[in-house]
Amino acid sequence: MTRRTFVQFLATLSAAQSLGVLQGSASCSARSTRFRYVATAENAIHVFRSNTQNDWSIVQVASSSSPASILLAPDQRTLYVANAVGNFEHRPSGSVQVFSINSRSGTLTCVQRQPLALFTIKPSQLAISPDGTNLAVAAAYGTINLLPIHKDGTVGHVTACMKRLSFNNIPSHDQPTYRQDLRFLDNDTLLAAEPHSHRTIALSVSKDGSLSFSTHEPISLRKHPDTLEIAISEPLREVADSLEARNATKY
Amino acid sequence: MSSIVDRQDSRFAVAHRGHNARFPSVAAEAAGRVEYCESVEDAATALQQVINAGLRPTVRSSGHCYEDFIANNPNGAILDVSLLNQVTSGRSGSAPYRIQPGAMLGNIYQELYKRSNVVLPGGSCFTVSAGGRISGGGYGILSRLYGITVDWLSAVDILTVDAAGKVVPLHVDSNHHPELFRALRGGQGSNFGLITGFTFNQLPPAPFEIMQAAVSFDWETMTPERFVKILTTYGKYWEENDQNKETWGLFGYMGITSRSSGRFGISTVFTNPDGTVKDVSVLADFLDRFETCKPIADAPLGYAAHRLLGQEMDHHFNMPSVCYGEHPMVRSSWISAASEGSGNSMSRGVRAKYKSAYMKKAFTEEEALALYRMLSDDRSRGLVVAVDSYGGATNNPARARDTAIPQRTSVMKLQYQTYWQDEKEDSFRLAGIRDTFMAAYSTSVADPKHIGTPFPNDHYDGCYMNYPDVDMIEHSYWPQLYYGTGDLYPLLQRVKKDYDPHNVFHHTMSVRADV
Ligand SMILES: Cc1cc2nc3c(=O)[nH]c(=O)nc-3n(C[C@H](O)[C@H](O)[C@H](O)COP(=O)(O)OP(=O)(O)OC[C@H]3O[C@@H](n4cnc5c(N)ncnc54)[C@H](O)[C@@H]3O)c2cc1C
Repeated sequence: MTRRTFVQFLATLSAAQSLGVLQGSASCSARSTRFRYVATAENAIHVFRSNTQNDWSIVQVASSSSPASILLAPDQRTLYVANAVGNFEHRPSGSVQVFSINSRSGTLTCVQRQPLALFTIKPSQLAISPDGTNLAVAAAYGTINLLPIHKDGTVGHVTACMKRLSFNNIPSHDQPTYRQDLRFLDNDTLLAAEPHSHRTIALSVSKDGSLSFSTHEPISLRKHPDTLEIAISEPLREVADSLEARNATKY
Repeated sequence: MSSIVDRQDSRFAVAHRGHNARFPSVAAEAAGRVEYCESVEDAATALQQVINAGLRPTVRSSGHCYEDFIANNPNGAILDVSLLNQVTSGRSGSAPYRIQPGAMLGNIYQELYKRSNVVLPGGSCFTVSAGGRISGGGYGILSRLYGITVDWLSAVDILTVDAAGKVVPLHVDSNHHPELFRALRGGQGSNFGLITGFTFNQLPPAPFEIMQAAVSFDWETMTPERFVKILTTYGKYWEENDQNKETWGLFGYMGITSRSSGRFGISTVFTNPDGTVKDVSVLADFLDRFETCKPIADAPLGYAAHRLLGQEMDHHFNMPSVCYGEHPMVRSSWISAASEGSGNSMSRGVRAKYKSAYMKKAFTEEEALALYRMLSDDRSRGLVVAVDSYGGATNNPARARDTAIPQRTSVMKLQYQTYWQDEKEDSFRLAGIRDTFMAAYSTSVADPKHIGTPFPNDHYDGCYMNYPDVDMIEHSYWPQLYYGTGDLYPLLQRVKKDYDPHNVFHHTMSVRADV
């Protein structure tokens, strides 16, 4: 794949999403040491492998339903995907897919697809607690779910579902389904930044998997201009750059 | 102040469950707490606190809900209003009659009877409560005579949650928030808010007395021909007598149990339109269609069938197949019959699954045979297909326009039920009821585009929201099964959007706002 075809490939994504990927928004891609995972609007996750330094090739196109956010487990053995769907198994909910990663080839095998809570639709952000035991999911209209992560990387049923009601997050055609940035501050605290209000909500995570608004919220979390964006766009740029470098030597 | 039962409280094990032991289906889906509200103010405060805490409230009056609508609420809050159970009237028992959501049906009957000698045309289980029962429609043994409960409903008090997340109490009637009022007349309160009261400006008189009778049939000697004859005769009676007002005081219940049960039968409750049973010719005529009694002179020694008639339906099915002289009948006062079956008001640990269908016409031979095949098969072990009479006063077309119960041309209402204890039986039981339902609605009278369901056509009229069945959401058209193919569902969607803009009040089968 050349840089041009790679960029063309990005261009084949839907307008909104390709813009998102090119700008490196949120988590449409994830990086491990040797592999890169890129979610596309074509209901697929593209797996890239670094053969030698700065030389990337595509090794798999794994099918996935509307992958809007992907996240690697800290041990890099599992990839979590938020399926931005509004209906799963006939119920009004989004879902999370769990892929196991072949440590040698980097290829993905879907081992589970877990529904989110009712009306937790179009999930767009994922976060894993530092100890790797909880997966947080942010979905349309400000809904947040928490799911336990088992030792084998699979996830359990949703243990908590939260939403702060405001004029800005009424489910409606007129309201954008904004992405709510999510991050664990530590194992016991989940931070959710609301883009429309520039406010960050702190949620306490209990041992039994429940969530509650932290007493000292709303805290003012400095929203770093680069936050997740740079970190996420980097692997894409790396892939593109490596392809360019390879082509440069070719021509 | 509401009493909060959290996961640490010793009452939690009982409090977070309803009557159907299948729910919550996994521990993770359990609510984080249950709040027992003692007053309307408590309920408003508790609801606001739950919203402020970012949690999902589900509302419970009795916990009799058939599906997981209340108990499945991961880390959320169940607002239990069973302690809001007052039934009041105006001075000296005059209207208006006010009923709080936690009032149990049996108590409602007794209160209204003692205060005013009037009756709510509701159902037959003592412990089912007003909150879900009334807002979802409410029908019972007096529905052919008086219509369904929501036909008489005059106003509803409800707590809604607005776009800002504020709890807003509303008093709704045909002049104030009329669309919400219509939605609450059968559209199920669980879609729109927390109901704190129902008002009836008028209610019909309580019957003075009733007569009960039953016939039963032996599975052992049952043939397909006889089975077809029984079902078609039963159905034809309701179809032919739908507009015959003399018969409107007759309620029939055919409990078709599966072959393994040994017998199945028909129970009846009868009163004349004047509330007496001085003349029982309507009832006798109905029973004659199923069995003609032999001369009393031929009766075996010691024959006393009327003594075999117990108070419970099950006992009715133990009646001998042959009667001598006259049909055995048991007379009782309306109120004592209505107060029977006190049931259990806390969870009982029984697992259950239900399905429903409205029928506009008698069973066809093909339908009866489909049921015969399924109920003769061991796969349907434990299943009961309860076929209730319907129609009469219920079939008032005007009520289709101002309530959320569009089924106004039906003559029978079917409820498929199966009960079991052991979780290991879940898949067997769920498959048994599902397959039987599928077979029943796959004959040539079913709508070809909606095979396997009683989709509204000239034979069927969909399903009943107070007998919800989550299997139906597999069909994109499930809202039409429950709310009809007319303007009702779009209205409910509009109401949902306007009065519950955040979709706070939701469950698996809640109205999907058209967003
Ligand atoms: C043994 C038995 C017999 C029955 N017989 C009949 C019958 O003869 N006729 C008939 O029509 N139906 C009958 N039903 C069905 C019954 O009407 C429904 O199950 C009804 O929804 C129960 O209402 P509930 O408030 O008692 O139960 P709950 O389980 O408390 O509630 C049921 C539903 O109503 C909602 N709800 C309850 N209270 C409120 C409230 N205050 N505000 C908003 N939403 C609320 C709940 O959220 C839930 O979705 C029977 C059910 C049982 C279990």
